[in-house]
Amino acid sequence: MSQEELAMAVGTTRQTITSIEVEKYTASLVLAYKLAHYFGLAIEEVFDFSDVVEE
Amino acid sequence: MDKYKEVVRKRIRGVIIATLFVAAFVICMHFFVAKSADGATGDLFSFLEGGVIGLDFVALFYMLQYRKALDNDEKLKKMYNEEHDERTQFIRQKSGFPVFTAAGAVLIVGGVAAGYINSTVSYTMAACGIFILLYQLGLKFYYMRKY
Repeated sequence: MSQEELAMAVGTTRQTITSIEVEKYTASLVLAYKLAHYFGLAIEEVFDFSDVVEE
Repeated sequence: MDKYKEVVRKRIRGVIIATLFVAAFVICMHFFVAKSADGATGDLFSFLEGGVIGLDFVALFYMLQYRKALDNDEKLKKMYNEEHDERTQFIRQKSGFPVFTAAGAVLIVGGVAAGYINSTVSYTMAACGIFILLYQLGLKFYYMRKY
């Protein structure tokens, strides 16, 4: 599956998927849920927010 | 997606009306106001008219993009996603949208209008407006690289 296809499936852009993958951008709860739901997994199985520092 | 289609149709109508209005304004000014009160040369008017005509071409470009998207559901969804993308909105917010954009636009439009009265005021306002928009663009590129 391409980033473009995943982006279309969850209602975002390819650039956002790339930024999330390289850990430049932290997905919102809603987007994290959509991505996890798309793969049929729980949010904590897809994302590890333990190192994320809130700005 | 039907609601968004309606939004896009409204935008196309808005762009057409705005373009016609601006074109009519420029034509009226071209024929009825020979030069500004402080005796500005024709160069200033050429500059202003060129700017407005340039904006009209930009509007035309967006109108064609909207027309294409209306005929293609995939393009429409992509456009919808781009507009509602949370990272894009976050970057816009960080780079001062909509305050900087509005301020820049008001200064440039005000500068164009002031050109018919005083050329110095016109150039100053236009320069300030362009500076604000360029500053915002710089911020946008910075945050696009950061996030």
